[in-house]
Amino acid sequence: MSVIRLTTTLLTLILFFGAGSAGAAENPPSIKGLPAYGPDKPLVLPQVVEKQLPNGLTLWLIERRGLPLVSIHLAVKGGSALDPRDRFGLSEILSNTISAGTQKRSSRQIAEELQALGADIDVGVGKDITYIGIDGLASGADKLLEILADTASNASFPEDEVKLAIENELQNIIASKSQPSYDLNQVFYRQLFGDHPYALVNPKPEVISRISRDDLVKAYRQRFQPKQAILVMVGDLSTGKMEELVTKHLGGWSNTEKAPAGIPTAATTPRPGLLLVDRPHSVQSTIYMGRPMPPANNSDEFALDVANTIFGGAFGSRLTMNIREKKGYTYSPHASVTSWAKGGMFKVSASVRNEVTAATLVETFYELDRLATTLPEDEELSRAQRYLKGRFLLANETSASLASTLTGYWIDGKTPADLARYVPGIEAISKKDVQAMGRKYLSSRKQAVAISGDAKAIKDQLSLFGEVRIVKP
Amino acid sequence: MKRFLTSMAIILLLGIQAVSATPLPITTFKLDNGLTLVVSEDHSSPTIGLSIAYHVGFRLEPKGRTGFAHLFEHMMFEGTPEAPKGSFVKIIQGGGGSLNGSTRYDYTNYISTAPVSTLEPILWLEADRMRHLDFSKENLDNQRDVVKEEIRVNVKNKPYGLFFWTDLAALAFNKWANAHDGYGSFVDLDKATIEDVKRFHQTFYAPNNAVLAIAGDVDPEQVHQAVKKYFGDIPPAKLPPHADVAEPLNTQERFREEQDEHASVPAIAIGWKMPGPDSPDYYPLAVLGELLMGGDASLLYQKLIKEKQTMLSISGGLGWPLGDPLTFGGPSLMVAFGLYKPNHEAVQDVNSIQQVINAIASKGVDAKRLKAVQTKMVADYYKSIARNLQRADYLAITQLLHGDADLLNRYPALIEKVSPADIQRVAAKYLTVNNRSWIDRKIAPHQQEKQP
Repeated sequence: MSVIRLTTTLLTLILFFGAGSAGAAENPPSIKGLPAYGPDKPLVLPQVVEKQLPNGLTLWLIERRGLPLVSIHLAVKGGSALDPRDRFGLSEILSNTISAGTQKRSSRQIAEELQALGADIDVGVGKDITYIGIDGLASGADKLLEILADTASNASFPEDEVKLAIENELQNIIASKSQPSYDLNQVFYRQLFGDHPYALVNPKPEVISRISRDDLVKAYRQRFQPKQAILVMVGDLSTGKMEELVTKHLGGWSNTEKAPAGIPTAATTPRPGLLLVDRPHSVQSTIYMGRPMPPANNSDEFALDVANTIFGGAFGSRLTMNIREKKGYTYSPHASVTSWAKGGMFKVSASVRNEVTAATLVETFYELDRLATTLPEDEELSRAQRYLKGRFLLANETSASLASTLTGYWIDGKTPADLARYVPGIEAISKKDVQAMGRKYLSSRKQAVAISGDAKAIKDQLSLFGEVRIVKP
Repeated sequence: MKRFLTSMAIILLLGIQAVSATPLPITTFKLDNGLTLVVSEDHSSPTIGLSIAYHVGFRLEPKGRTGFAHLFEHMMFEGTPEAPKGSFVKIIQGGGGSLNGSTRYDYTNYISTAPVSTLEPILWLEADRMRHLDFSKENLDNQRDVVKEEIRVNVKNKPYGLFFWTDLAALAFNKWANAHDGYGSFVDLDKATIEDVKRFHQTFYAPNNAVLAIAGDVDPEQVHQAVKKYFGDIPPAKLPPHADVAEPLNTQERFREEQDEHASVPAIAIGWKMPGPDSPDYYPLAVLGELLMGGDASLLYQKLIKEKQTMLSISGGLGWPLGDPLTFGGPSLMVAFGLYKPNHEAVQDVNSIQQVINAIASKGVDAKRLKAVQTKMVADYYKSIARNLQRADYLAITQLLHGDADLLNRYPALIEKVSPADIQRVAAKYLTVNNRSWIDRKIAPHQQEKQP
C-alpha cells in the first residue's frame, strides 16, 4: 500500500510570443501595402491539476469552459513494440477487442450507451502506448468514466469477438497491401531499425491467425494496471468534480502483475541504401527517404523541429517550393521528424510520376545538403519559428487535442511543465543551430532511400545513384 | 419521493441529455460592393479561423471543362501582380498559421487559421487575390501538372480511387451539373487556357459572390473596419444565374460493375438520390443516414459487420464523402460504401442493407434509439465547431448557400425535432430500390492471382 501522493502543480505561466520581434521587417519587403503582423497576444497556458490515486494512477485534469464537452484519455505504457516477436500484431487485435465486451456489457451495449451520451470511443495503439479515449458530452461524465473504467479493467475478450477481429484484420491486411505505401513502409522501417522492435510495422497474416484469446488476456493484464497508466481529462466541469468521479470509478482498480520489461533504445546510426519495391502497373513512384533519430525528450528536439520546417515540414518549405511549386513533380511532398519513447525517425515522402523519380531524388538531396552547408535566411528562420509556435497554439485549441498532447507527453517522459518550455525553446534556435542539425543528421549521404514503383519504368534512372537493391517486404 | 426517483430513472434510461450550449454570437455585415462578412467572437484562445467561400463549384463549371473549378482553386495560390508566387503560403505559415482550399459541388472555400496577430496580413492577401491573379501560362502549366499528380495519388494509383464519389454520381444523376467528374478528365484539363482562368475569375470571384467569415479572438466592429479597408474598393460583378440542378428521384434501379486495378478486396457503393436542403425531408434524411451508418452502434454496422459478418466496413451518410448536411446547396446522394468479403456475391449485402431500410420504412424506429442518434449528432457538431476554423467555415458556407449563418444556432434543434414518424416517412420515400444506384467494384484478375 503506497502513501497517498497528491501533487498539485498549477501552471499559471503567461508567455508572450516573440514579443518585440514581430514587425514590418519580417514581411518580404517586395510586397507593397501588405500590413505587418500584429502584436502577439499573451498565451495563457492551461492549468493542469496533477494528482495521483493510491493505486498509482496518475491524473492530469484541466477545466475548460465553453462547449458542453469532455475528453477523457486513459493511456498505459507499452504498445506494439512490446508485442512478442512471434506475436507481432497482437497490439492491433488488442486495440480492436478492448471495447468489444466486458464482464458487464456486450460490444453492442458499449456502442449504444456511448452513442446516447454523444460519445465516441477510440482505442488505439502506438509503438509505446495503448490508450482508450472517450470524447462526449460533459453532462454524461459520470457514465463515461464508468464505461471507461469498465473497458480498462474488465474487458472480457469474448471468443466470437476475438475471432471476428482476427478475420477482419486478415482482410484488412489484404486490403492495405494494395496501397502503394504498404510494403514500402515495412521495407523502410526495417532498413532504419534493423533488429529493434520499432522495425516491425506490418503484421503477417500467419501470425495474426495464431493469436489466441489467452495472448490477448495476458497482454491486457500486463499493460492495463494503474501504476503504469495516466488519465488525462479536459472539459466543461471542475477539476474537483473530475477527481471525485475518477476516484469513484477507478479508485478500486488494482495492480495485479509485475510491469512488463521495457524495450532497449534504438540505435541512431545512419543506415543508407537504395531499395526498390517493385510494383508493376504503378503510374507513380512513392519515395521514402530518411534515417533513425534520437528518442523523444532529446536536447536537439527544438532545433530539429525548426530545421525540418525550413527543409520540408511545411507547405512553404524549400522542398515543396522546389519539387511541387517550381517543378510540378508531386502533389504532396512532406518531411517529418517523429520521436517515440525509445527512438525516432526522420522521413521525407513524395509520390511522383515515374519519369521524374531520379530527378526528384536529385532535388531532395540538393535541399538536404544545402541545409547542411549554408545558413538559412533570417526570414526563413523567423517564418519557421512563428509557424511552429502558431502550430503549437492551434494544436491545443480543443479539449480533445490538448488531452492527446498531454497523454503523449507522459508516455515520452515529459510533464505538464513542458507545455511552457516549447515556445521559448523554439525562439532560442539560431541560424547556426539549424545548420548544425543539417550537418549532424540531415545530409543526403546519411539517408536511406526506399521507393515503391514499377521497376521496369524506373530502375534504369535510379542506377545513377549506385546499386539498386530490389527487395521484398 | 419514490415516484420521483422512478421518473428520473426513466429519463436517464431514455438517454435524454440536456444538450444545450450558449448560442454562438454571430454578427453579420454587408459591404457596399456586396461582400458579406460574418464574425463570431470567442476569446478563449488568441487565435482565429477564417473562411472565404465563393458561390461556384463543380456544378457551375463549363461543359467541356470538367475539373476546371478545382484547377482554378489551385491557381488562387499562385500569386498576384502584387504578391508573387509563394508569398501567400509564406506569409500565413510564417505568421504561425495554416491554410487550405477546397472545391465542392456548390462552393469553393479558402480557409486559414492562425494566431490573431496574423489576421490583417491574411485579410490583405485574400482581398488581393479576389482583385486579381498572376494570369501566366507558366503558372497554369505548373498547376495542371500538380492537379494531375493529385488525381494520380487519389484516383488512378489508389485502390477504390474515389469511385464511391465520382462513378456513383455519374451513375445516379441525369443532369451534367450533378453527374460529371469534379476532378475532371486529363483531356479537359489539357484544354484549359489562361483565357478560361481570367474569365472564371472575372465571373465568379467577385465580392458579391462571396462570404467572408471569421471566428475567434476578435471584435466584430474592428474586423468590419479592417475588411472595409482591404475589400471595400473591389468592384462587384454581374453574376450569371444559377441553373436549376434539381432532379426527380430515379424510377428504376441502376447498376454498374467495375474492376479495380489496385484493390485486393472488393467493395460496393450504393447511392440514393436526395433532395436539396430546402426540402422538409432534408434533416430527417440526415438523421436517417446517421441511424444507418454513424459508427459502431449504427444499424448497418451491427447487421453487416457484427451479425452477418459479410462486410469489413461500412461508411457513408447524406452528402458523404465530400460534405455533410450543412454543406450542400442542391441535390446530393445518401451514400453507403463498404468492403465485402470475397466469399460471396455483393448483391447479398445490398439486399441485407435494403432489408434493414425496409424494416424502418414499414415498422419505424424505436424512440430511444432515435434519441441516442440525435444526441450523438449534436455532440459531434459541437466537437467539430470546437475549432475556430471549422466554425468559421460553417458560418461562411451556410451564409453563402442559405443567406443565413444563424442556421448554425438552429442546427441542433433541427436535428432533435426529427420524429420517428419522419424517419419512417423519408426511409419509405427515398431509400427505395428504384431510387437506388449501386456499383460492384470487383478486383482485377492480376490482383486476384496475388490472393493467398
